[in-house]
Amino acid sequence: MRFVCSAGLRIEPLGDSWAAYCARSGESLQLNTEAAAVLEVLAEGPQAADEVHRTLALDSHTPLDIVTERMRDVWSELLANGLVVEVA
Amino acid sequence: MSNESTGLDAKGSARRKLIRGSFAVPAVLTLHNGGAIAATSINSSLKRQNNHPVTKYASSSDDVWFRYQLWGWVKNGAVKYDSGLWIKGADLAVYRVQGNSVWLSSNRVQRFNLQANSLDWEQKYAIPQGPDGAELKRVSHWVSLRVDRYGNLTGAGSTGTGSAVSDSCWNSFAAGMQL
Repeated sequence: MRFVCSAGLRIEPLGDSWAAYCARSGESLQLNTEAAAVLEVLAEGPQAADEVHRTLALDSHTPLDIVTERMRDVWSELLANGLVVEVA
Repeated sequence: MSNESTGLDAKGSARRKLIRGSFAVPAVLTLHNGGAIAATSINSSLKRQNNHPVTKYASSSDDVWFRYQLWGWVKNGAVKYDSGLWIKGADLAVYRVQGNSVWLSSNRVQRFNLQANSLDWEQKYAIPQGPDGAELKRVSHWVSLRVDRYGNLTGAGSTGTGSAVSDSCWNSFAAGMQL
């Protein structure tokens, strides 16, 4: 399963966090830096969850198993909010 | 999706801000509930759209229109168009909110004709078996769903009353109705 940012997604810095407008849901959302980083990685093109985890582990100098654990429930939330979509 | 379209820094500004050795759980918080506002303005937005209905052709990718990704039989990476492209009623059940109707029952399927941009008239209980060795999968064809002024799903492509609507219009409406 691969993911990509949804069409019409806009993200801007908002102080120490990030503001996102999701055209898919019509919602405005506040993201922490980790969530914005996930979308930043996906903005480069469709990627599997494992690939994203590896990139984030390298970027944050955090062990991959910790990143994977902390991302465990995040994908469903990103999907539910319309921030990312699954692609074939 | 390009960085330009998302507003994300091409050099990875969020990624650069990650704290070394401390990757926190990513958090997403709703700043502003568009659904609640949409719920109060739904009549005006859907009615306005239905006063000037539009029809959208199928797309090879998802976009900001309220669309459905068709099912098809795929063998060796090739879509077997002779076996049809299909909509499953079960997939549309999530849009049956607050008494709104969906033209296709949850236990039915309906074939979509890409060339005509319309539904075949006949509804079936199951998608007919495809060629030997083919697999039923979502394929890269997204059709627009039609919505009438009351929020009922009436059809796809050029079939059905109502109009094609944008994702934000429909999704905000659906979210608002569930509040």
